[in-house]
Amino acid sequence: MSNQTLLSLDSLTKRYGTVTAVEDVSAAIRRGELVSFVGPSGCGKTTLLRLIGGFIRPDAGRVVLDGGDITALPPNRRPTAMVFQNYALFPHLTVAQNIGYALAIRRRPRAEIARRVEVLLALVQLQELGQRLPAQLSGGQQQRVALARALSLQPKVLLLDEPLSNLDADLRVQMRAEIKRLQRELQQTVVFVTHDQEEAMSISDRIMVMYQGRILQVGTPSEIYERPATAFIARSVGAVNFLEGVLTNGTPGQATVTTSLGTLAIRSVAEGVGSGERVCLVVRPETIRLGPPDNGMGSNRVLGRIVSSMYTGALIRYSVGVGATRLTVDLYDPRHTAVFREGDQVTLILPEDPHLLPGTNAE
Amino acid sequence: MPTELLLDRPARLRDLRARVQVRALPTALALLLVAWLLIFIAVPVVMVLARSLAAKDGGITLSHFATFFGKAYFLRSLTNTLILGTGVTALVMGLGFALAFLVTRGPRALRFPLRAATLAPLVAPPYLFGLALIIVGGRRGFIAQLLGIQIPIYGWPGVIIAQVLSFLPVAFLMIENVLQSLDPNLEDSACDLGAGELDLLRTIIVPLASPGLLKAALLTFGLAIADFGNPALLGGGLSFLAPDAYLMITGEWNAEMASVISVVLLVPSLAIFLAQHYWLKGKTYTTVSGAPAASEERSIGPWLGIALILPCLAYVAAIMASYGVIILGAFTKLVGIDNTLTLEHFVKDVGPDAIWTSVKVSLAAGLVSAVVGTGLAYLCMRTEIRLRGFLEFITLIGFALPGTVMGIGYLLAFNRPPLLITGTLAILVLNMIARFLAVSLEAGVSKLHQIDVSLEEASADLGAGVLTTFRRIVLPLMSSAFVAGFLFTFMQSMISLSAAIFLVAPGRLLASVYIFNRARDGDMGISCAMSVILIASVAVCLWGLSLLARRTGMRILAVRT
Amino acid sequence: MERILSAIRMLAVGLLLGWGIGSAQAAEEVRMYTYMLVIQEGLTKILSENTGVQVKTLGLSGGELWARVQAEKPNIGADVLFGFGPGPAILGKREGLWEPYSDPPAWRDIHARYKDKDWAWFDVGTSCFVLVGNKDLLAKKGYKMPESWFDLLDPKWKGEIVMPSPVTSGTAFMINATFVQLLGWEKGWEFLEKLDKNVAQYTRSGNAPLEHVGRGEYMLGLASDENVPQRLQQGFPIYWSAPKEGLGYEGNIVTIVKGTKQLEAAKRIVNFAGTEKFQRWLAQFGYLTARDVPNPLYPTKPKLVNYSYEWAADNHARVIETWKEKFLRK
Repeated sequence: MSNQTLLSLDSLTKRYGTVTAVEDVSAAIRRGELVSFVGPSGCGKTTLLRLIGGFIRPDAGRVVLDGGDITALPPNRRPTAMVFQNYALFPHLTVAQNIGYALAIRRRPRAEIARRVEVLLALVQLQELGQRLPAQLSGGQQQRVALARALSLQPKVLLLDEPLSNLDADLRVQMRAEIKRLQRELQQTVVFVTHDQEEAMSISDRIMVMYQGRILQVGTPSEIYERPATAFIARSVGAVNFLEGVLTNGTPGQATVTTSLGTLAIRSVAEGVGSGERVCLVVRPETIRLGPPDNGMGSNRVLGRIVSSMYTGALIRYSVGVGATRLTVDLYDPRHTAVFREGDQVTLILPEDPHLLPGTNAE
Repeated sequence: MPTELLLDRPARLRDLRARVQVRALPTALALLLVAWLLIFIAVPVVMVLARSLAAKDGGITLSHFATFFGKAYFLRSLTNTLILGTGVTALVMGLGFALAFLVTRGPRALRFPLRAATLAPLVAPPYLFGLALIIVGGRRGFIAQLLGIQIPIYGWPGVIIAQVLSFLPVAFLMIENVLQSLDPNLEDSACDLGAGELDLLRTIIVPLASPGLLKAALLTFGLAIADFGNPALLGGGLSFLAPDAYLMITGEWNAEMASVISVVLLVPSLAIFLAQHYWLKGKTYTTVSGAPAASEERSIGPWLGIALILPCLAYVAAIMASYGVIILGAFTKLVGIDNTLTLEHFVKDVGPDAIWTSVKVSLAAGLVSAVVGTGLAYLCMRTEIRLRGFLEFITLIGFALPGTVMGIGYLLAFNRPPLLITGTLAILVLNMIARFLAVSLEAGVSKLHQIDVSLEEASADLGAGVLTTFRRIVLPLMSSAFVAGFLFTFMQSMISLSAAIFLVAPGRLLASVYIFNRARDGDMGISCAMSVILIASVAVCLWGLSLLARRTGMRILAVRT
Repeated sequence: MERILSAIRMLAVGLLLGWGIGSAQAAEEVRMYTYMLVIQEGLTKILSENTGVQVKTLGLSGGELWARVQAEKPNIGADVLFGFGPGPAILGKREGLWEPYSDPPAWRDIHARYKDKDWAWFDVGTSCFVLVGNKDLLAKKGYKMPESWFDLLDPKWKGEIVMPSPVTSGTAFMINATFVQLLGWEKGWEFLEKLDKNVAQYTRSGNAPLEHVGRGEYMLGLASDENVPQRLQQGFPIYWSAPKEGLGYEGNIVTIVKGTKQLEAAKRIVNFAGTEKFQRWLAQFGYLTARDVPNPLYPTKPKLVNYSYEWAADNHARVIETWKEKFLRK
């Protein structure tokens, strides 16, 4: 274990009756990084978070923090702090009392508590609201109080349980940036749980994709996006086209895949997949280029027809039909690129380095 | 509008009739109900008030009150009653909190048995523990013979112990409800921030639960001071208000002083009722709505654990012992003296009359109460009657007032023409209805909250009138409230004593009164045997009620927070 | 849900039917108040069986009974009063509350002192109050049963005596009236006040002290003799005694209430009360019956204190009021 690793999860398992919420999960979280656990509801991410926080005991496995086994410690003795999804602000205490709670419990002198509360309020930019009650605050403000409260202990690991899901869309985007900023500023290790992949990608140093109690893939946002381990992961981080076909290995670094669109030449090679086996190409919409229909059949060029188009300001999303297949193609900066209309015939230029997945895209 | 002219005449008449029907029917029913409630709830109470101020020559006088507050005897009775209320409330709240805490946050294995044991007294008449105490305690009771310690029976210890055992279940239910409604995240969060268990209790749980705890405390206090059976059985030389009122009537027919005592009893009960329903109504910190899910077990440290578990175990042991003793007493010749087993109390002594009378009365009261209560709920919730608040208030008063007051009131109000019904079964039935109607009302109201108004609007939209809608849509949906009201009223009528004891007549004896009288005369065998039968019938009802609650998700046992 | 509702519907129908049947049978039903609490079931049974009347009984202590009669008059809720004190009986006669029954056949050969000269009331037998004591508790302390009523004033009995309260109990009235008649008004109350210092509690009924003493809660009790024979037979660890000054006593009166709609049936009951069969039955419980029949408790007649029923009637309210003034405390 490198001394960069702050939090280590060893083979954690948690069962509820016949349902396994977390299955043999291991992960290493480094000091100062923001790691997200992402997945659909029921994948076990919240359970995992609560295991780290100490609110539930695992049936098997250990939680090791800073070299020490904390598996048996109750939450009030772990150097972790959690921000709950519904913020869990104490309704009968003021904002200042909420933030100062942890210190008050530890019987710190009043002056010290007041000072610390001031600092924290400034940190989350709520300086004037110390005397308000939680019920008098907006959602975003409550969230920041919850954050400040959690930070009051200067925890080794900050745990965030879907902190932004209760906020409006634009507030969410704003708060994302806030959290990231704070994290950088304080060099705080953060474990972040969310079902929103876009959110995870935008702020995480690393992402751990979960499904049905297991971790499917660990990587940086770009690794997850560009080289997803499964079709499920690929689908969940953005729009994607899957092209199924049969691989034929050629010269080293080159191969062809025979698909329903024709035979495509690709540069990347999937390890362990031999000639004649089925593969699935992961083609992102923005990697396909569109051009006017020309008969020039170069490599990776196919003819198609625009079925529908959706203008969303920064890009136009086309649904292009090639034979029976529909491909999603995104074209950025519509002002400066050619724009096509429904029914137009186009040439699609497919990328030469799509990501390869063995098997089919069925999950 | 031109469209109206387009409607043909028959349609317009129909429309008019429909509108009249909508307005007239609820109003007519409401007036009927008002009359009923006034006669059978308001009039008795007014009679008691009037009698307390009645002078010999027919005028008004405060002399009776002067007598009450002037005589040392009555003042002592008053202070005793208040002390009793406070003491019992303190004990019940402490014990109830410990039990509720363990049941909501303790080891899972413990929860069901603890809860079942705590609620066991609900099926018993409230003076059952007095009975058990008499058999078990004292100088030559079981405990003395087995362990050599004498548990005092008569006087403060007896009355307090018996009341704590009887009233704990209701308080427990309320406290449990409150504790379950606290957002578990709050406790998790506090823990996360470093709070130990005592900190948690002190800074989070108790403050947040306090409105609900206050309500439970007020309820318990009200029950304790209005209780008749336990102080009467176990008071010994001590005097308390409810038995005193009874004594005034049955021993001397001093209706004036009895009424004065009733008024004095009435005041705190009324104050508590008003506080609970109008002041504390909205105040709550509960943050979880709907049925709360089972909560995680929390680690409870050794000291706190012992502090909680010991009194709980003592309580559970007392309950079990009491039931055991009663069953034993039912089947032994002379408990403590001749312990041969026998069925003679059931066969020879037990008057099937009394049980049968109780069943008849309770069934009738249950049925009528359920019908009227559900109807009343519908009227109050769904129609725009101006008298709505008034109706609810009167109904709830009938429930909140001490049974003694209602008993004396009925005696005074209905013992001469035109409503000469004392000595009949009817007066018993009417009295029970008046006292427990509120439960059916509450059940109906809570159920109606769950039923979306749009269902009825759809029915109306499709052409059904008010009655039809009620019959075909609302009533079937409210059936669970109906059944709940019926069962609860049946149960309570079977075991209630403090009002019925004024209204008995030859051949019109209720089981609860019979048992009580026999117990006071020291005849333990029969009392136990009849109690066993009574408890069995009530237990069946309660089982039915809980089945219903689980199936329909309704909160039945009237513990609104 | 449907099942429960139809069950309830069936219950409702059954209820109405049952009620209907019940009221229909109210034809030959006689309502009775009695203060013979211990034997009320047996009493009801034996009366019903032998007169063919359906007797419905309400058991009340003497004071309660009289208070109820006073409250309900003139619409008294009973047809027959079977077993209550002679004082109230005489008072009731003065108020014209009883329906006379001239010369019932079964009473013809019973001594005149058991019948009111105007046929307004009948005395089925005398009961006394006795002193009872718990064998084990007395043995533990090495005490003996007091021989004189005055022995009860000894401070060693403090908190150990239980007796009934005259506010509710006819027996208690009997007790207080006895001592007052025995010693005179002033000295009588003086005695009772001294006795009160040793009394632990005053019970509702005259029988209750027997139960308390039998169960060992108190050492001594003044109780009605009604249940003593049975309890002795059942093994109660008690002594009972008649202290040397004598026992107090009162008759047990039966009357027909004026205005009853069941006069025929009521007469049958009163008549039966005078028969040998009934008197033998009653004697089992220690009653010194109007007819001379074997008595298990008193093989020979005990010494009785001089007691006047007229005096009891005249001073009924006064005695009770005085008692309340002096003793209704704590």
